Amino acid sequence: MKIIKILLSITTIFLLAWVLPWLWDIATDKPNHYPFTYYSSVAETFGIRETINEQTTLKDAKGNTYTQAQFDSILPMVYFRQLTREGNLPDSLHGVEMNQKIIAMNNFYLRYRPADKNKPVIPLYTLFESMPKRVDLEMPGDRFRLTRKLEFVQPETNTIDKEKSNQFDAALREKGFMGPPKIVAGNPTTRKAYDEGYFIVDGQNKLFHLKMVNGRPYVGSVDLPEDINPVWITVTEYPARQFYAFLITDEGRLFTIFTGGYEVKEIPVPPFNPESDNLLIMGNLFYWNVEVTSETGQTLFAVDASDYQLKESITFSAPDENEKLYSILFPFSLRFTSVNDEYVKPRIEFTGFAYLISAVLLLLGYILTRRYQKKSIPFWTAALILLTGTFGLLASIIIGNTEEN
Amino acid sequence: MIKALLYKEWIKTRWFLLAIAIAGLLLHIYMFMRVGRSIRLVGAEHIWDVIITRNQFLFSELKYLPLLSGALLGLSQFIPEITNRRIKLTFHLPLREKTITTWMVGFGFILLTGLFLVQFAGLFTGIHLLFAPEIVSNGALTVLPWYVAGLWAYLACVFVAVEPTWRMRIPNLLISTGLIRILFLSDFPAAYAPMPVLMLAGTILFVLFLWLSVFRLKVGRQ
Repeated sequence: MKIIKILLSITTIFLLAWVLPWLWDIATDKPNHYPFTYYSSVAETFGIRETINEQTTLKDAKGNTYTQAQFDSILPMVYFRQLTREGNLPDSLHGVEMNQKIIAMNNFYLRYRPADKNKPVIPLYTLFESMPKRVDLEMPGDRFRLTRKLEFVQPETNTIDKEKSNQFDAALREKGFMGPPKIVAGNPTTRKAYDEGYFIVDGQNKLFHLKMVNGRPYVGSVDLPEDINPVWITVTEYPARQFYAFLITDEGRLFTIFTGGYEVKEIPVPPFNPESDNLLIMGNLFYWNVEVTSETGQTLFAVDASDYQLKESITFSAPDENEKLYSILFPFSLRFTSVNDEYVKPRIEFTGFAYLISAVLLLLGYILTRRYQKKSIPFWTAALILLTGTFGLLASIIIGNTEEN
Repeated sequence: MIKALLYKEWIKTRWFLLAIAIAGLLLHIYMFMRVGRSIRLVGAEHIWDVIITRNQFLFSELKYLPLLSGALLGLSQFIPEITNRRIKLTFHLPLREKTITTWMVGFGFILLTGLFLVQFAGLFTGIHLLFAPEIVSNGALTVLPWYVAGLWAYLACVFVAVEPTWRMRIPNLLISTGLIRILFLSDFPAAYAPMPVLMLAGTILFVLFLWLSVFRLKVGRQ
């Protein structure tokens, strides 16, 4: 029975380690806003819009401040609609002709969150006809699975279309595909301008491009740099048709796959952590703003869109959280969910040894109280208080010490 | 003697078991009628698309059915026992308390598991006929924590009800609620994929914990 009581104590401690830090967060959470920052292709520095206590300041990274109209004009790639309406949009910049339509066509936003990758998926994919007879894309009436073999399943009958399956499977194999794949990336929606099918990484880190053109398979093979291990691909299908996809490696390096010849180029920004950092790329005719947000802060890199050179970067640190009291009270926390994935599983985070301050004091208090009550000191309860501090003491108050059955 | 004991359990729980079984049956019929209707109205391809790309689970009405079933069965079996401490009389039978409790809890646990397995089998035959195996296994992982919650709820009822003192009944209730709550933290289909081993461990923990309650009752904690 004693072992069961100890198990019950430990369970209680874990439940407290889950509930108390959660309550702490609810009581102390503060918003964490970074200013809106965008590289100005006019002023050649970062434009920064920051709102503190409903007071907005418009400035640049060199310290100049701006009025709204001035700010609009240094960021024509963001405020082009406003500038057009006022008749203030220049008709060219750096010798490149531009108007509202050209800017809109070349602007793009790519967002990556670790939870995009780390979630349960049902591995059935929609392959659209890339050259539809009508303007709009249509649902193809089947879905494919890709393990060792490629198979098309028809939802209406829940059966396999053998002929189409064999045709597409053969085409993939011909190019050297070895299933099962690691990544199958595409956009299964008809709400896009056009379709570029799927980018597939096989078990040997080889990259393939699969499309359906006029009902027949098209398979392209893409040469990747030798030493990389892709973990995520986003197929872009942006209006400008300049590139097919973005690729992220396990080390957090970032690559672009270009249209016409599948050229693979690395974006010259330092590696980020694809398991915990958010990525946002805001691209335009002249510069790509690559924004990496981690727990410690946000860094924005400006990359020249023409020659792929890193131009400049700016970092905003996350506000200092005063976690001293937290780390003294709680030796660890238990959480089951995370913003970085969609799974439920226990995640224990240790806060360090600062908790020993409270643990030793609580243990002393506990021993003195027991002595005063002329009661013996139960070894396991004392050990649990020393090991888990507040949690251990609360557990012993809630369910009694480990010697009492 | 054991036959008589099981007969007593049967008399206590039979109407509740029937109610749980009928409620489950009706809910399953309703869910399949609704899915059938959706497929007729918008086509199977669209329904597949909703499941796969929008992460919708079509049978989410099922969520609390096992939990309620387990709790109801546990209460129907053990509330009569703790009213006026009748279970104390049971423990005066010429059988060891351990044997008696094992048979009592085993009776309920096995009946509940059996009922859940029948529901599970029905659901999966249905899903399997309409959808690809990938969707079936995703669905299985989605409903697994709900069924485990049903088993935990049953065991928790015993853990709380058999405990002789209110001083411990309340902590027991809180701990049980906390543990069961873990199984309802996410609605994302198959979010509990990393958890089956822990779910099994949790079930074993509950069995051990209710053992503690039985022991405390036996030694006569007031």
